[in-house]
Amino acid sequence: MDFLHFNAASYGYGKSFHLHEVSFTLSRGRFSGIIGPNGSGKTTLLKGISGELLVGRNQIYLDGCDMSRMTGRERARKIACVTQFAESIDVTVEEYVLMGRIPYRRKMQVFETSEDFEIAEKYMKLTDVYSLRHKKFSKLSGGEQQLVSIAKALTQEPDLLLLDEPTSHLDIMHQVQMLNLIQELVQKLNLTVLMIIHDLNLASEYCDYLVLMSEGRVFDCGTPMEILNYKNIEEVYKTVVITETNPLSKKPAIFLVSGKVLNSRNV
Amino acid sequence: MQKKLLARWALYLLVILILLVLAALLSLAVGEITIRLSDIPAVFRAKEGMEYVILTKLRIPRIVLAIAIGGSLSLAGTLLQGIYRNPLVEPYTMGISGGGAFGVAICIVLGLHLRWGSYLLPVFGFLGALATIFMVYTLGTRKSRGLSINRMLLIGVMISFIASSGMLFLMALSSTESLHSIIFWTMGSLNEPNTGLIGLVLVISILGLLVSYGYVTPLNALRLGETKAQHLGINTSYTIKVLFVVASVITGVSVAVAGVIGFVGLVIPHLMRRIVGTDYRILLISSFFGGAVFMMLSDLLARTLIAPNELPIGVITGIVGGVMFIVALSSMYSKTES
Repeated sequence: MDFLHFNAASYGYGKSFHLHEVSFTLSRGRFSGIIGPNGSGKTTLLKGISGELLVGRNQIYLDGCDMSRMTGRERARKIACVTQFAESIDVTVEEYVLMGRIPYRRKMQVFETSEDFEIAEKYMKLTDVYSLRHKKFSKLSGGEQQLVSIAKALTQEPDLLLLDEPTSHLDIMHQVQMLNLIQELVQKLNLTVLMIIHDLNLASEYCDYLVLMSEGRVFDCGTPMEILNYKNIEEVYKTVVITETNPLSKKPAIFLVSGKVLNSRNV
Repeated sequence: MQKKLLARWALYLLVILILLVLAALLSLAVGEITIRLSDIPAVFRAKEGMEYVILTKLRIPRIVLAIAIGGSLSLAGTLLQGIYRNPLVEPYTMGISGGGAFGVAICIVLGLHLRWGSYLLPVFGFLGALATIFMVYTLGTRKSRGLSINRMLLIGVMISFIASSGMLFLMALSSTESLHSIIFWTMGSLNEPNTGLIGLVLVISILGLLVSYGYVTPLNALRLGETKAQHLGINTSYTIKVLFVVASVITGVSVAVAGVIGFVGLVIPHLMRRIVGTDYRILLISSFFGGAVFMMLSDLLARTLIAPNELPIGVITGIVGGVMFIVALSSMYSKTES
């Protein structure tokens, strides 16, 4: 059941930042998270999968296929991305979501098919943005724009959904709404999700599997229970934390300790 | 939804084609000698007389050239704004027009057109535009990183400056006579006696429109930004390269034949985007015909305002276009504030 497999992948930006022999495996239909401090290579990792960075042969496999042999179009039919912000462009929500069908358009095809409209409608309903379909995308709130971006990504009918901190600028209500939706999608559509997330508590609550990055390498990977202990976090983030168990979900919960409290305890 | 959208697009297209026909009829009728529209069929049937000569030798070639040049410049502006995702880009700001003008200035100062024939002027104009394209393209691309949009843009602006300084330099060196022809050429004119050249411009402008229609989907995807377009499987750098070349060739040909006519490529795409929306499937064709209408009307003003003399058309497009632009912009702001 190896769906996404990193085989000692080393790639990066020209002569500057590089990932070193990154290896891990994700199985299909799971909600996985990438965590790690700033500059640890989370986004670089994602860009290798999305095709923004060039990766050599036999380093990343998707569903058994070497990704470096895929064309942009093939990739876009299997992988969809949602980034932190969406460009505010002056089109309706429906037109925006329909752009997700572009990877399926034939060479000289100028207009969408009725099937494209049906698929777009289906995913607008699933993400609860169908009522917004005639509104301009640029007039929506940040949370609504992210939901519409997810609808567009789903309209690509991907097997793998990549999310780069999709909730980082949202309030907790919208964060939870969004992550609940993604969790639901994983179950309903048998979608595989790989998400960069900064908030360790959210990562713990929502993800089935975590990849902890540090200085361009995979520090550790496993279930939240295996990864999110104070030893790992202190070593990677160089920060003192306390880990407890969430009484309801039984998942690890991380508490930060302020400098003041830390000093008073030490004295 | 789809049917409604298509119906709206068809309506836009119909309105713009009606405007095109009206502007063409107006240009046929109005001039130093007014020819009544109701007389025109009779004139054509007679196939002789002064009015027949005016229509076939003067007005119709001008109308055809106005459509081709207006359409080309406006289409080039739309394409460049689409690939650079910057509303201020047009053939003029990219240095393509400046390079063409510089080429022509060289030809005039060296007196080559007097020795070898005046067809050398458009040839030099086109070569100047091509040289600019080549420079913007090679300097704007780096082997390691591929295409850099901002770099290309900045280099275009700089080449535009260099070309205009070079032209001033040539003008400072040249005789009064060639000075006059450089200035007149720089200001642009649709007065082109060679009908073969007019036909060529028309064919190239239509080819440009057809080729760019092959790239409407990438253009639409590029509205999301380059990265997001790549996520949709679009080969963005290839698209940008092809469309840059298309925009450059149609601009180069226009500049070579009609001189520097600014603002069409900036104002018309803007207005059209405001009216028909940002979807390139309707935007490309409406920009093309919108530019054609604008150019015909500007030319009409240029040859009637101070008749029997003729104003340079670049003056008209500059003033009318600039004012239209400011009016449209301020009405947009007052709408969003209220």
